[in-house]
Amino acid sequence: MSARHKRKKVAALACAAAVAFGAGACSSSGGGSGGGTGADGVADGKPLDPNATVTISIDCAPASDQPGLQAQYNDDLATFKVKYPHVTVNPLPKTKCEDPATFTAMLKGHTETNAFYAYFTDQNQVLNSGDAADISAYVNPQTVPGIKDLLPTVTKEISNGGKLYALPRLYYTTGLIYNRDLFKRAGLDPDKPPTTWADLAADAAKISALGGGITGYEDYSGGNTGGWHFGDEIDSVGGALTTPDGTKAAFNNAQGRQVLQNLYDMRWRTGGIGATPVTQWADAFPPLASGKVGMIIGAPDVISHLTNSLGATPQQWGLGPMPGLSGPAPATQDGGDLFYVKKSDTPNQIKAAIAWINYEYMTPGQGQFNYARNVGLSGDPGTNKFIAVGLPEPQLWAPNTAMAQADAAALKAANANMPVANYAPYLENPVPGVGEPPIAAQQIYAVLDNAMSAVMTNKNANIPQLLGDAESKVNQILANQ
Amino acid sequence: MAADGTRSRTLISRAQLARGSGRRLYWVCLCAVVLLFTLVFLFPLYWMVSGGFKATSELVRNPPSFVPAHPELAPYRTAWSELHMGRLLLNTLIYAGGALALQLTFCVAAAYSLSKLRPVLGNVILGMMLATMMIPAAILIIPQYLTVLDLPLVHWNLVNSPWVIWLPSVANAFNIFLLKRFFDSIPEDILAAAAIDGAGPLRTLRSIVLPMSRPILGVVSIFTVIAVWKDFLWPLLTLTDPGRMTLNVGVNSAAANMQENVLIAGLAMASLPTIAFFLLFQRNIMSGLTSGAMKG
Amino acid sequence: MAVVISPGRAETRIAVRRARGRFLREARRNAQAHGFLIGSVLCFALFTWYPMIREIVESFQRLHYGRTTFAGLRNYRQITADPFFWQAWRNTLQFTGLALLFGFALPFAVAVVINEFRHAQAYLRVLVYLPVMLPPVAGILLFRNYFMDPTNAGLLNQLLHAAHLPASQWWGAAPSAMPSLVIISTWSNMGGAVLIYLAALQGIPGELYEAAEIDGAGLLKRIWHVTVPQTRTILSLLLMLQIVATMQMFTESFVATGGGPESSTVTVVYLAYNYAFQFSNFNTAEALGVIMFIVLGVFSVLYVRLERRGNEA
Repeated sequence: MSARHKRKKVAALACAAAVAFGAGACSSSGGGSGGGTGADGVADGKPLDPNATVTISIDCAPASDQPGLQAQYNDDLATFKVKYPHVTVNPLPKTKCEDPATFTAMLKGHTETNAFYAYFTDQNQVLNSGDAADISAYVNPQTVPGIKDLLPTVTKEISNGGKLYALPRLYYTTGLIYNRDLFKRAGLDPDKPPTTWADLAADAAKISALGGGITGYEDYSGGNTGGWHFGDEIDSVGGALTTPDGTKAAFNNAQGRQVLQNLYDMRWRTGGIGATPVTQWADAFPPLASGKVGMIIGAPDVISHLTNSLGATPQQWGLGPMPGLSGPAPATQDGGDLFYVKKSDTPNQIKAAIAWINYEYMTPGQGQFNYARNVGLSGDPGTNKFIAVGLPEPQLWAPNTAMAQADAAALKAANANMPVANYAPYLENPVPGVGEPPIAAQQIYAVLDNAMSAVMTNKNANIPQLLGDAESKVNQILANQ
Repeated sequence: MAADGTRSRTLISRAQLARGSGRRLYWVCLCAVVLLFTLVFLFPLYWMVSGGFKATSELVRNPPSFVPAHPELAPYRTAWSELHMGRLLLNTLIYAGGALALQLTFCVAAAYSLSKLRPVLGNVILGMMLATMMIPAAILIIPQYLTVLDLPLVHWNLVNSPWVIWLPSVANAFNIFLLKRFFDSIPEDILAAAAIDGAGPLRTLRSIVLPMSRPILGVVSIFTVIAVWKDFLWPLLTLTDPGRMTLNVGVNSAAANMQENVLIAGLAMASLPTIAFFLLFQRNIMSGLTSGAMKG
Repeated sequence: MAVVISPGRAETRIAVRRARGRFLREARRNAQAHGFLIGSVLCFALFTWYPMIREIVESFQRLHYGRTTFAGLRNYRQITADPFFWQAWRNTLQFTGLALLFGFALPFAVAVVINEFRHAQAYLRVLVYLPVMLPPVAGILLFRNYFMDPTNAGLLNQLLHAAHLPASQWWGAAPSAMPSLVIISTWSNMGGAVLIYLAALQGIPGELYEAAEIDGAGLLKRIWHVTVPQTRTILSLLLMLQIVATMQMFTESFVATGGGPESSTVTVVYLAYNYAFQFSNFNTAEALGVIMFIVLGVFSVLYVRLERRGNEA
């Protein structure tokens, strides 16, 4: 308690100092004539001058409900302070890094922190707000060594029109998360998760047969998450949500019908899906954590959510590849998050933000990749002091690059505290990631929520009609953009 | 004012209920209704409070367990410490208290002016105020949010300060309407007598109108406190600093990161203060609402 | 200027002076009265009137890469062409209709019943009002996760099972979703209405019932001819408030169903919220807000008209 207060007080003092300093800088540059140099710095592509005094704010810091991650973050702040004694980083803790409503409100009100968190899919919205700085002139292999070794899909997401706008924090491709204990109880091999949708349906039915309110599989159907998973699943059977340019629906075909038919059969014929619809992102996890549901499609970090926040034990969880038609899927949805830098920042603030993001999120062996330290700081598994090490995430680096190798070496040296062997099915069957629809993704998802929830809540659902209806609605929306 | 101690008769006369068969029927109905209401309104609350004493596995068990098998305080303790319930509670109290003080000052003054002083354009102003009741609050929130970010003319940013709750709460047409209706029922001649004695409007308000208006002031206060306590979307958008959140928003924003039994314990704790407040003051609250809230 | 002042003129003068005095008094009185008003008026101006104007203006604008441009009716065309537009209105009206059935008639009936009891009245009033005190999210989650759980493990389904009735899907299927939300919302909100009705009922003079009974009016007739007319003003006022409030239904859909199943709980405000905060298209959301304002505005003008006619009659 007192430590928290102290930290708050320090932050407040730092803030006051920053205001005082900022005002001083303003008045001096107002009095002086024209010089480009000064306290604000210049966009010269060089790393931050270690003597420059800068204060930056950044969001997505772990909040008090995650004391483990918070300890890690504070440790990083302290180490960074040694490197840049004149840089003050003011973290803004968030229990959830992005909440769509507050995020939109923040952009609208221009109340972003100096560097601010966003999902890959927010790019249009962020650029549209006019608040993101073009950081092309600041980022190069000297300032951010990892920039050249990023996965091409990640590089694509942080830039637009040949300009660089953001630095990544996390990248993932979805897979199958499953409860190994339930697999064992249902007589299934926990090391062999289903790799086709047909197998998944069969396994789900077996798990549901355990009784006591347990169901084999769950899937989303509301709050725009249903459409999101429909997109993931149509990718996995070789289809796509929209045409590549994103201007027309492309799901009213055999693949689309297959996805819906499969879910329909699980819900109404084989019993692999239960009666409770999952209408929001977070609602899927409590039943998983309490052992009521066996499988879900999701990103690897779902496992750390289950273990850190919801009290599940790490050993319980396995990770398989995204299922396809005849073996692992040919493609699966990917996603991730990143930090934008605010346009109104001074050049030195931009440099400091880049230095911090590079240190905390993009350097093997440091920050989030400092596995040995993370294991040391971690509390017991199943508590919120736990720091998961060994999950196949954040997957930023392209295979066989120097960064990827350094990262793998750091992990090897650290003795992961997560059961890495449980993720072998996922790691041994890498499925290439596909991005989300480029135009009006959320609106398309809202339409497809309808189809997803129809097959999982309505026994009389007419799949061709649902798809035809959704197709015309999506095309109508896309024509109106 | 017409609160003459003895309660007059209602739909069914007292005599009829005192007679043999009427009396039996009365008791049967009474018991049935009491039982039904207890079940409908109290049991969900019991489920919530007792749920916080169960382990997650017991909470989601099928068939349900109605009495915690191994009652444990841990979920409540976890919810209290992880949610910083004390801080959230204090915040909410400050917001509700400030809103109450401001509303009692400004809404009473406005209603008094509209009812008794009747300035030019008073009716237009009243109409414009009442018209705001037709505006869907959830939709007006967008331009409202943009406004509090940069208040016109003075350019203050109210976000993350208590004023962002306090000031907009004054723009409460319903309370002004209630107050005005009540003031309308105060006979003019009492005020005229005061005016002849040389009392200015402020003194009249203080020494004559307000003492007569205790019931309605109670009602308005309750509405105000409840509104602040229950509001969700507005504080979610405007009080984003975790140290300044309201109870409702704080609990909700952490909901995704909690085990089910901790969540239900958190919900129970978030509900408890208002329920306690209500039970404590229910006599005043009820009599306030009953003895003259809605005349005419 | 040796003008002889005729008595008539003197009178005019006095009259003028008097008039001026009256005018000054009037002005002072008005200034005072407006002084009492100013605080509220400022708050209304800043936090409702100005945002309202802003909403209208911005509904004709568009934001493109940080720049605002005039967009004419584009936002209106976009929102009316949205595939959910009409469905959202249908769903909202369904909620309003059901909510009136439950949330309007039920509290009145409850109030009438409670008012008849000579015992336990305070207890019943407290009970009915308790849910009003809950944070709305708590009530909704409680029902959604435990009482109305669509599986057989749901508490209400177990109750139905015990009574040998078929289980319901509650919020988990399109036909029963909206009624479920109405039940939740009625449970949490009816306390306020009940208390207000009770207050109105207790203002009814007992002689009226007496007289009606002497005239031979039965129970229902007494309700219809005494209770209802005596509480007419408050009934119709609450009716209007209820309609306006239920047309804005949002939290239940947002927290409990995410607009599903099969879009059966997408309401107008939910759609507006989606446009603003999920699709980040504030301008189109504001256009929908303006449309909603017009609809509710027309409705309330009609209400005031009818009300006035009712009062004259």
